[in-house]
Amino acid sequence: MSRTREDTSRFTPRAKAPVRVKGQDSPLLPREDARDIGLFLVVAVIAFLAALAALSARAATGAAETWAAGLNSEISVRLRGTELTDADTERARALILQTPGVMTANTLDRAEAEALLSPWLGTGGLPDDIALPKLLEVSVTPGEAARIAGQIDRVLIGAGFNVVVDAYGLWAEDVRATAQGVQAIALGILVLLCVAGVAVIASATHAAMLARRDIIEALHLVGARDGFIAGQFQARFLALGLKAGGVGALLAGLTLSFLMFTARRTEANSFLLPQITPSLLDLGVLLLTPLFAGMVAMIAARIAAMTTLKDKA
Amino acid sequence: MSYESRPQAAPAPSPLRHEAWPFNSALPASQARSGPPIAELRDVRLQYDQGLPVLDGVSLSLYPRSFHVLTGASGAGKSSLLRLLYLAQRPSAGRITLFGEDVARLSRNKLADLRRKIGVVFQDFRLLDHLTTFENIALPLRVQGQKERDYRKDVMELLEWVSIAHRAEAYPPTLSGGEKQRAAIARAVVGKPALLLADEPTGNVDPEMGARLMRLFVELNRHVGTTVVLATHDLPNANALGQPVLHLSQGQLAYMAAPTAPSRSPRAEGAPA
Repeated sequence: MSRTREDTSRFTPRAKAPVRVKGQDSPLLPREDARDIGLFLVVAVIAFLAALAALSARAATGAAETWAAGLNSEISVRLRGTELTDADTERARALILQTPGVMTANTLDRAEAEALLSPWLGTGGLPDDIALPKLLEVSVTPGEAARIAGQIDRVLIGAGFNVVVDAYGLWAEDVRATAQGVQAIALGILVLLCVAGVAVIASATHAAMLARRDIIEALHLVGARDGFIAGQFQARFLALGLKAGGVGALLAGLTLSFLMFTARRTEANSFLLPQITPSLLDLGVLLLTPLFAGMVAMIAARIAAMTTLKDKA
Repeated sequence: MSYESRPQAAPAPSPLRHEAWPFNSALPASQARSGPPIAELRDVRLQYDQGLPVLDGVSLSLYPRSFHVLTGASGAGKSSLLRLLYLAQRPSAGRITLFGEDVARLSRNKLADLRRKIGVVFQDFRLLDHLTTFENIALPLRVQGQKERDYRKDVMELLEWVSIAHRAEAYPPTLSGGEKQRAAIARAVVGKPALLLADEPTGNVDPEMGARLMRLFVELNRHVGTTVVLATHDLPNANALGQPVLHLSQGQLAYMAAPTAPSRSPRAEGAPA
């Protein structure tokens, strides 16, 4: 048999050849294979977790702001004493309303006070002989709660009342500190995920270069510079990062939607949970995720490729 | 060591459809004229780890438009010498000058630029399976940043020249050995290199095709003025070329006269002028 003729029936070039568009150069690296699919899934999962971490940081910040805003505009006033009459309570309310910065002041009746205590004491109602303190809910100019609380305290004591005025200052500080903690943890997770993504892409680039030694050698032989060769891998991983990041962002968006749906269904008990509301910032996080994943993948691939080429020199 | 000189064989049929180089211009005048050597090796040694040197004290000057046949037994160092010349490897000792540049002093980018002046043909072709024949041949132009619309005509003419235009859109695994080798040769010359290195280019083709390919190298040298170094152990075909022979034995280079005196003699150090 002549050596100039070979059995070509086993080869199906189109199976792995890049799709060639007339007038456009074909990619110099073959189309992705099974290894790339595994890598795609890993990057998609990392992008999904990164998007969730970023959304968590934003949700924590948003919830803290909402909580703190509520706390900064509300004051509770408790009138002590078992002999207090409704007239005493009304006199105290009038004094409170005269204080600058106070917008409303409402006296809570016994039923409303029992409702506030119901999560701890149940809904059966309290015996009539148990005296409840007189409570007033006061709304004030946002951000002025602490200052106005001091004024109310002085006015009521001056009028002979034994009072406890609470501006929730400690609560607000705790909420802020907790929110900042959640934010820091989320950002830390984001950074760790980025590091993991860089490591995965760098390792994959190195492996891809080993697997494509023949192509690299051919490119070197025809005078390709390192930057040109690195550019081939960089473009490949940029595309992979964009696609995988898109899938990750989509999954994160679905997860966020599910959480919002669940939160709305359990709204009755949600007073202890942050409100999850969609915002433009969330949409921005989701839109930026593929771009960020693509950029991280591209930079990691570039650095890894250039380092590998120089190491082999 | 002996070198048997044989009468020059009758010219094999040319694989070329066109006798003339297909491009409008041959080599740039600066590369085609005679002058200082385009490649010089001085006391070059190549040694892996602590083993015996593959090449030892090799000195060689390659002048423009010359044609060398590099012979030697398997393992004599032919491929290693070519690897040094196409800058795939650095010598353990000695100095290599290419196109007037001391390669040891060049950055990686400069080395890549020098490689663009060198065409290489391998026994195993080294075509990329996922690119078409056309794309493989155009590869050197593509890495230089040229667009297909700019080089398409030239590459198609070159495909005609090596008689595989009808296989332009075929993938290498579907080509015959001779077609692959002609594609590899076309890729090596598409950038109009000043120096063409061929490492056992007839090793994977039948004798008839081997003779035709050898003739193609000679035509490249004559028509284009490309300096050619052709490493082969195919002595009958090498003799038939009538070109001067450089013989490698145990890492040492020896010059031997050509079976028929060449008009432009290459010169190895210590060789008769």
